[in-house]
Amino acid sequence: MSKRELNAIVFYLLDAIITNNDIPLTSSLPEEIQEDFQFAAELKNIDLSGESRIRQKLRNQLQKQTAMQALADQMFTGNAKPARSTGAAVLSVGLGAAAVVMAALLIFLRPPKTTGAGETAPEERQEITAVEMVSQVS
Amino acid sequence: MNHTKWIVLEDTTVAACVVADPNNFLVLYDRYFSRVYTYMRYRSPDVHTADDLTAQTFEQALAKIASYDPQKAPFSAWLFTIARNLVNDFFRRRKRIEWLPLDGMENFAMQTDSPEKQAELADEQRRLLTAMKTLSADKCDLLALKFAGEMTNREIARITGMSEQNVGVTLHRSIKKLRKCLKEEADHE
Repeated sequence: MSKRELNAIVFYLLDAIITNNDIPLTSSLPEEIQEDFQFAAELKNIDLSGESRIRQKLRNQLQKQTAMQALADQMFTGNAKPARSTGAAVLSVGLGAAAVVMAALLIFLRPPKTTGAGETAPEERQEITAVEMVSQVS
Repeated sequence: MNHTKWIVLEDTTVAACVVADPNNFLVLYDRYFSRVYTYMRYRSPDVHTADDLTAQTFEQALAKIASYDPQKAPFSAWLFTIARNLVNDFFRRRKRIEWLPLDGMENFAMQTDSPEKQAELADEQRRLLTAMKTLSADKCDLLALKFAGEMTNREIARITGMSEQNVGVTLHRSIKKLRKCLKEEADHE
């Protein structure tokens, strides 16, 4: 077995220890490599977390923290929407547009101003002034 | 919380559920506590530091979970990057590297085992951690990522910036050295 082939097998076995619970060692491998991998498999099974004094304490703390975070998220999403609810926005825009249309209609559809008995209409007054000017010149 | 429904779910799916509801973070905590703690234990000078750094790792992970992108890296790689950065910062702050002193090793064994079994386990773990002290910081980090973090060579390469080939070679050399060291100690006794 060449050194390159042996390296390839070693790299494969290093990952096999992690991805599988057991390593498929064969007697065709050099004895030293087999021993290395048996040792590596033992290393993988070591769990030192039993000595930790904070496992449950930290879990409780994180539980409180996540609950508070979830509550904060809920409050944020709960308050943000009613302040600018889409229904109210549509209603106010609609009312505004209606007011503008009404104002425009009132301006353009206003009946023409009627002239009283003793008054002269502005158009007539202009014509009279023009006739007077012509007569003065002549 | 009913955890049975989470067992079949991939970490990335659970992480996405945590973003939607932070209460789901405890699923990831239960899944990763042992691995993160063991990683910290390999790299920390004592039990108290390992406890402290483990707590910081999970607190940071919870705070940053919204920034986790499953398309960039597996969840374990993301979590162990946080853990690794915290350990490195810890040693940077201390200005000196002090690998695995023997203080606080009396409490190694699981409390559920018999006293004889506990003593045996504590002795084995003490030997292992003492042997690890003979390795360089980089090699110790690789071994911890591999066997405590249960990461593939590719994931380790991504975290450390080394080539996959280099990770494999260094790991195999470290395993050899560690085994030799333990064997010599056993022969000596």
